[in-house]
Order: sequence, then structure tokens, then C-alpha cells
Amino acid sequence: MSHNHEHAVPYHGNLKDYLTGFVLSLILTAIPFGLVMAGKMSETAIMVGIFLAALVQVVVHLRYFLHLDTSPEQRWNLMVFLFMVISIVILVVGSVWIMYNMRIRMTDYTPSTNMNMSAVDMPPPVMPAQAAPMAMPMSEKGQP
Amino acid sequence: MTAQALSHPAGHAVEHGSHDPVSNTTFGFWLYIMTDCVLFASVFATFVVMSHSYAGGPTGKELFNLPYVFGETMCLLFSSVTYGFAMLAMLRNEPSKVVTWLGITFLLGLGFIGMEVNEFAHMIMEGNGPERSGYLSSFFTLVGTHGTHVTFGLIWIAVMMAQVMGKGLTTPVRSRLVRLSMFWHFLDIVWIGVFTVVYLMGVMQ
Repeated sequence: MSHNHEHAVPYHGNLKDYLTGFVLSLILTAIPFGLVMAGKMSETAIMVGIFLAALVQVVVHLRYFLHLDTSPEQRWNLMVFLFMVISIVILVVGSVWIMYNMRIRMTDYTPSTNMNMSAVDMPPPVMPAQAAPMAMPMSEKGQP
Repeated sequence: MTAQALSHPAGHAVEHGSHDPVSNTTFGFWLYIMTDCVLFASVFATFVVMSHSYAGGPTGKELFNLPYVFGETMCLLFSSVTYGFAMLAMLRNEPSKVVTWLGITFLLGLGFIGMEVNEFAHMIMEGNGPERSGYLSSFFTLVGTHGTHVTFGLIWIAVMMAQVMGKGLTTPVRSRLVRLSMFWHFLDIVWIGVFTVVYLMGVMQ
């Protein structure tokens, strides 16, 4: 009876898996919160730490809570999962890469381009001496 | 050896295709969860792109309280484990224990949603709602999408408690419990991304 049900419903959890996953998740949650709240390391080190902890915790959840592994019954689940991972890596990394570049290009200006963009707003004392003549035609053009 | 290795997967596939509808349903639900991951990925990407668009509004450092977020995280993590205990009770054919563990899972999930709604309400009352800045729009979209999923998970848990009490642990009910377990654990995985990218990184910037 019991065996029949286990066969009918594809589920292979056990107590050991859940407790292992729980303890590992507790540790992998405490570490990043501790790192950020203590704030004793450099920002880069903390970033690497919290992302590593998150990555490992995701794997722990997949393995011990969702029972995803490399067994034959899980083969298709795993393949679809890996396809999803590729999709979201392209989606997230691609978006961030493009938008980061755009931000850099739209906000990074040298003094001369700065002059062209907002010659009127610039307070005169800050203006470099040799750049001032360049600004003149701009402000004259701007007047009616 | 080779012949056995070759014939085994084929036999397995035929068996799964024609005699095991529960297995197919589970795989279909797994496909849905994977597409939901892509939805969350796009909302995460939006959030990261908007993560500096404060428009003079508050930053993550001024808004977030990490011990509070740690509490929310613990609610979800404990609820994942208590859901696992409900599944183990199902394998042992103990319907009353299944209902008890589902009830505890429901309360922990409700605690999580309660904390999140409370956080949102405070932010909106202080004028830091989604309309304040691009950063806050994407914050409410990402965290709100996750919260909506958890809310639907809570409704599903309540329905399953009623079904286990009313119908007992029949094969369709077990099949639904398996799918709900996938959904519930999946939401906890998404939350790992949320607390790392939104709250921990937000407090550092």
C-alpha cells in the first residue's frame, strides 16, 4: 500500500535531507547578514562573501528541499533547470551590462562637453580660463 | 552491460509517458516554476538597473532594517522545513499530522507576509511609496511580486489543508501536495536572491 503510493507520487524527501538543508541554510543566512552588519571587511570582500553564500544556499535548497540531483528520474528536471539558468544569466548579465554602459556614456563628460551641455548653468568662477571663449558662442547662440 | 544501459532509459521513458500521469503533471509544474524564475530574473535585472535611481529620495541604507529582514528570512526558512515535515507525514500516511504541519507552515508564511505588509505600509506612509523614485518603483515591483506569490501559496496551503481533511490522502491530493512543496521551496529560493540583492546590497550602498 505504502509502496504503491510512493510509486504513484514522485517524491523522495527524507528527514535527514530536510534537517541537513535547514542547518546549512541557517549558517548560510547568518554569514551574509553577519558580514554586512559587522561591516568590518572591505566592501568588495563583503560583496564576494554575500554572493558566494547566496549561491551555495540556492544549491543547498535545490539539493535538500527540492531533491534535485543527477539521478535518471531527475534528468529532465535538471536539463530544464540548466536551460533556465542559461536564460536568466543572458537576461540579467546582458541587461546590466547594456544599462551600465549606457549610464557611463550618458554621465561621463569631460570639461569641454560639460560646457556645451550647460554653459548657462555653469558658475563663472569654476570655468577654466581657456574654455571661456568656447562657451561664448554657445550662450550667444542661446539668446534670441 | 551496454545492452542493459541502452535498454533501461528507453523502457523508463515509455513507462513514464503512458502510465504515470502524476509524474507528467509534476514535470509540467516544474516547467512552470522555471518560467516563473525567468519572470523573477527580469524583475531582478530591472531592480539592479534602477538601483541608483534615487531621484533625491531615500537610499536602501536609510530604508532597511536588517534584523527585521533577518526575521522575515527566518519565517520563510522555518516554513520550508515545516512544509518538508508535512510531506514526510504524507509519506507515513498520517493525514492529521499533515494538516498540523501545513497549519504551522501557513502561520509562518502569514507571519512573513504580515511583516512585509507592515514594512510596505510604513514606507508608503512616510512618503516613500513606489512613486517616490525609480529605485523604489523597482523595489516594490520585485519584493511585491515575491509577496504576491507567497500570498497565493498561502491560499493554496489553506485549500490543501481542507482537501486533506475532507478527502484524505488520495493520489490526486498527494500529487497536489508535491506540487505545492515545489512552489513553496521555490519561493524560499527566490527570497535568497531578494535579501542578498535588495536588502544586504541596499544597506551597503
